Amino acid sequence: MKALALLCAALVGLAFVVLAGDIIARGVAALHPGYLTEGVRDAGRAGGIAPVLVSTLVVVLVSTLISLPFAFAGAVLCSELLARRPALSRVFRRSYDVMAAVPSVALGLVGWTVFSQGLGLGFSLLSGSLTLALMMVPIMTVGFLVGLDSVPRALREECLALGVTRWQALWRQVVPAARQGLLAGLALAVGRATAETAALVLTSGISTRMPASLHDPGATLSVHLYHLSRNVPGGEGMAYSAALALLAINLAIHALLTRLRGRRILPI
Amino acid sequence: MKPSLYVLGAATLLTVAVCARPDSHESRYRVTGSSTLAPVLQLVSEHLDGVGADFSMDVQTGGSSRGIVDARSGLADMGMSSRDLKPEEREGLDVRAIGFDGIALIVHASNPLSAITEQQVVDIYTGVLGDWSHLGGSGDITVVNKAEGRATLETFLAYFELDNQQIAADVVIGDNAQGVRLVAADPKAIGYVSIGEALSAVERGTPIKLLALDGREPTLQAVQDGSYPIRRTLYVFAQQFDARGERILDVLASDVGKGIIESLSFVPVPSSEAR
Amino acid sequence: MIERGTRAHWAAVAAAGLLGGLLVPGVVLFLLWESASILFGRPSALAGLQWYPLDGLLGLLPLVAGTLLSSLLALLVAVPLGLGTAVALRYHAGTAAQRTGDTVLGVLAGTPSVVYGLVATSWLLPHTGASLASAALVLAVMVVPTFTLLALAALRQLPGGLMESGTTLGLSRSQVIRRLLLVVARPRLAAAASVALARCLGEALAVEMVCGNVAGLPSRLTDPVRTLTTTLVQEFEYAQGEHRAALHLVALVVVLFAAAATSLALHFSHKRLLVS
Repeated sequence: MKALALLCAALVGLAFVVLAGDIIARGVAALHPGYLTEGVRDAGRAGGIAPVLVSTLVVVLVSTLISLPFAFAGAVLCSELLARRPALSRVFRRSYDVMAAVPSVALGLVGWTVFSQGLGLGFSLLSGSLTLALMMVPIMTVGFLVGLDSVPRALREECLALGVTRWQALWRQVVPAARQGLLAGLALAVGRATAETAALVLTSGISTRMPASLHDPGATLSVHLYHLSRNVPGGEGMAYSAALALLAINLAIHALLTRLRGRRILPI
Repeated sequence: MKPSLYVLGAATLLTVAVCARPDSHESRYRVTGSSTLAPVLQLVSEHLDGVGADFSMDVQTGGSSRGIVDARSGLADMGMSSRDLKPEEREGLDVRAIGFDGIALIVHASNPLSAITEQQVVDIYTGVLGDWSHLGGSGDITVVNKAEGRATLETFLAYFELDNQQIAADVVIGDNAQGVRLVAADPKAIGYVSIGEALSAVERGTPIKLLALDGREPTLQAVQDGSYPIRRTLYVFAQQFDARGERILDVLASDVGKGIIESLSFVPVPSSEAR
Repeated sequence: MIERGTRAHWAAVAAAGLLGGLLVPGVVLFLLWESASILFGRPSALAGLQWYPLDGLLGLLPLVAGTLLSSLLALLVAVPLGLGTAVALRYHAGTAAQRTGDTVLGVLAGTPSVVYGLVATSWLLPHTGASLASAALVLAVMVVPTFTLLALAALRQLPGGLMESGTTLGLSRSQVIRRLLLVVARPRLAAAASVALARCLGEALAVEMVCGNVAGLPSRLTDPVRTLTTTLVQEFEYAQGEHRAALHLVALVVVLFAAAATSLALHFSHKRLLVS
């Protein structure tokens, strides 16, 4: 039994090694000292990825900023306001779960029609951010709910008994207690956002010029990678380099978040 | 009071960010359409940036049909298409041909075949010929076809006078790069892709080779003078070419433009007035 | 009851929360609207067995078959693999290994589909060809991190005393894991599998590069397949008119499948733990 389990873990580890190894092996070839600071040249086959990194940072940041309050509100709605109405709460929870599973291609369609055309934003970082927010809100909400649900009901009752308002109880006791789950929800959503491709190709576009405002288009790292590997002849090498950059970013984000979550990974 | 501070802060930040619309945004020349042509216009854009032009281009994909729709509706200043425009699509548009793209049949580099006849292609693609043994090789043929709606598919079908339903495909691919990748990974595969993509791949050492069709070699020269028969025309178009559009057309017709087009293994059109 | 002074705050929260809940109906309505021309015009065409949109043949069945077959096969591989990995990390690994495992899984989960597709093209295609088998394998690899992380979370949330109780009764660790812990965690594990299923159903780019994309009912693992999502990816940019409407319907079907899978997950996670 133990051997079987360890074998499974080894196989998964192997998959990771093959994936990371392939990316590193093929991606390193095109790297040079200016890769992270230079602009994009030759339709992406030369130069660096500085504008792409900026676009990625902006899109992820803006969509996170937009999503946070809505996601948090949704989670609070279900776990606090509707605590006494389980049926209604279940309807909302189901809605969030379903939305979180909606494929990004479908959201790209929605985003293009509603934001790019409907709001007249065209290909822009803003349109991309709004579309990403559509995707992030449910994922974050589901994660936040896991966090909020894990806080025992008793805590809230105790606060009320002590004369604390529910609002204060929420912010001073429940949220800190749910911190792990909240951060996990945030991590999950941000992770999905950085990996998102299909929805952004249709909304924030493939442009590799340094964006000057939210209304400018800008390819994120995943989109740039996609475009290079599919549409630019000879672009595959640089696509792997972009994949390597993305791998590094993912590792950094995860390392950071694991640190923030504290050392609570020991078996209970 | 923390949450309201956050909301207030984020709202202010976002409002400011959203309202910041530098003037340069208005003068962006928007180009959308075929993803095959996008790299060409992207390189033109880089050239214009390099010589300090007074406007900047914004190139996006979306497919040939989207380029046509956007150009007609004004959502884009210029559209790109790698397929012929239908008569009703041409209405109200100034259409210019800027290049040719041949379509070549490719097989794995290890395949003993180096030339093929039109009849053999038809037989292979309709499933009549399923084995390489009749052609000097061995094993089942992996037939690679293109997805519906692609200009390459339409050109292929039109040339060989086939209907898509007659094709017995083993794999259907989306874009040319994928076609190359697939054939390079399967010694028993045969497919058809843009010559531009195929030649670039061969240059990079990808293990594929282009087949001569009925004795005609698929070289760029042959595509240009018409001796290689299967080719499609690449177009750009606009409701009306303003000063910026004219500048782009000039670049495309100049030596720089021809160099760009050739660097992607397409063939420049001798005269930019061709329709 | 809500205290007077904070009513406005809660109202704001409720309003913002409601907006999130309206997303799904909004998306569904949008897709219905865009697919109206074929949904209400020629609905019978959708039940066909052939997908040749340019000839007006818009049968969804082969696409649905492709989606279901590839996803279920992928789960067949991913669930045991992920479960084993979760058990290994939770019960047979030290802190450092656990943290490494969390990071590795997290990075895998955050890698975009295109990358998986590129790597699979070099490593899988030469062996299993562009087929259902390759599609299922790529999906399995993509979904294992998600499932494993959720399974790990489920195992970590089990009541702490169970392992001790089991070993005190004379059972070996392996026996306790197999006969007690996994059984108790079953609802949450089933929920995790349903979430993994939802992800499989919605995956597009990686599958598109290795599945063969021929719309038809596969008879062997080595036959090519096409799924609902790969159709969207391949044809959306170039579709017009009725074809475009049909694609919006394809998107709607995917959303409905995802909804079904997540409902399944919710159904399982509401079953109370056998041990309170």
